[in-house]
Amino acid sequence: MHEDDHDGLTPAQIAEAMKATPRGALALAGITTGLLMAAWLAMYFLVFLPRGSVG
Amino acid sequence: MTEQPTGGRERDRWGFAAAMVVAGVLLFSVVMGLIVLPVLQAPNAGIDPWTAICRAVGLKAGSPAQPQPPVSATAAPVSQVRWTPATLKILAAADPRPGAALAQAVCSACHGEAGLSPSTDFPHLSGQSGAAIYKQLSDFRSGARFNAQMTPVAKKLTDEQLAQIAAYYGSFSRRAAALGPRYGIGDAAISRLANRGDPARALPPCESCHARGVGGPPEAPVLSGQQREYLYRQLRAFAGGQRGNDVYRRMRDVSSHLSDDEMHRLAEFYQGLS
Amino acid sequence: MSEADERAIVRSEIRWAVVAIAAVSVIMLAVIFAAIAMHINPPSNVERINPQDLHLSAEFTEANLGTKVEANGQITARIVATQFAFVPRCVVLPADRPVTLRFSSPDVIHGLLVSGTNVNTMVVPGYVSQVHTVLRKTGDLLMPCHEYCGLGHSEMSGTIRVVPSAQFRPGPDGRVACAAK
Repeated sequence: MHEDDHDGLTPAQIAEAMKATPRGALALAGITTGLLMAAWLAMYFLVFLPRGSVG
Repeated sequence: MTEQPTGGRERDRWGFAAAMVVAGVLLFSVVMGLIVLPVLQAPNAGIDPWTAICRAVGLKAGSPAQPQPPVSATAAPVSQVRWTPATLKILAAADPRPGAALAQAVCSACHGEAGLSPSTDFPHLSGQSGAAIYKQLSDFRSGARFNAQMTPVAKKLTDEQLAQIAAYYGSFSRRAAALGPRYGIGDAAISRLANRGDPARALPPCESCHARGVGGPPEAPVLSGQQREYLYRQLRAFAGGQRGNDVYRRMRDVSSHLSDDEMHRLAEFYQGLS
Repeated sequence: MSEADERAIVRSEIRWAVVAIAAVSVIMLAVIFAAIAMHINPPSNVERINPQDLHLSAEFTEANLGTKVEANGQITARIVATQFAFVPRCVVLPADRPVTLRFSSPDVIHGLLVSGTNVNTMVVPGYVSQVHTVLRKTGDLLMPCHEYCGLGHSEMSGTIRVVPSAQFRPGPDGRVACAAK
């Protein structure tokens, strides 16, 4: 493996960064999921239900 | 081979748990959606719980939460023609040869040799769609459409004879199609109306139903090459209510949104003049 | 991978499963709440009618189309979706009163929505599509066909004219039609 592939980082530095990565991914996925849920609930309670019953 | 026994058991456990969760969700949905909610909604519709469940399942018409409207109407159809498989079979199986003899004896005096009418009083029939001829002859016969000359003629014919005549005139359609459509090319505005329609007036293009084999209502006649006098008279009759055998007002609606000038120009467009 | 890492991954996955189940549960609870408190159902009426005979039927005969106040006071609009128009093109309905819309098609699959409302259904030949609703906004609401039905599809649209309840005056036969414009 070339030194370039590590963007000038030592293996120890990469291992250190990888420890924090899952938390970052979790935060990103959590925010996205939360926004999606919030959008759904907003559409349902602020648009769909005020328009009244169907069915 | 490399599978560890504990890994296999682990997977079984997860698989079983997942299957139970899916089955539980399914059971919950069925009980909730088809039993609990309909029973809770039934009072709003003024029906008993059992009827509400039947409505939710789809065994009875209506919503479990809303009263079903009553129907009090008598049928007053504008045409008796039904496009059932039986009708389509009669049309498909009709022999054009007796149709040719009938056309020679009955139709040709007015509609001309091979259905090309020499007079502006009578429409061309050559190359017309068989379904359109069958529909109009049936309507003359049932009284849905009236014409002093056509009504008595049609009343003498059987259903099979109508289909044979339709098959005879329809048999020209392949030749007519090979000649290509005959449209006017000079009138850009009317060409646009015929080909694109007018969304502002909710007018569909004439061609969406009247071009050959276009997939609209089966009874829609081919207009290309028809006499302008006949086309104009029919548009006026639809708009004025003298003719009303168009199922679901298709032509009465469209023609009532056309100006007299547009009717003239459309008729010329379809004869191939403008 | 160490055992500790593996445990951490399983824990994380279980947490995500819990989040997903919670999200679905919240949505289900909202739907159940709406169904119980507001009688909201999906428009899923199962009612068969022969499309070849639609124009010969009593209910969807031409003269019976449009708005009618039934003998029991229920306000019903019957509309045929056909190539390429809604019949009738304009339908009058009162605001703030429960109304029922009944649709059928004699030819191909159509669809419709009434703009600014929850009315949105397919019209499948062979079935009667039915929607119960209460219209809040007065004025002319556009009702386009939203299921491709042929070459005239893009010109196929109707109008739902919502009038204030006081201005909704049915004739002696219980029928109301749009005044010509």
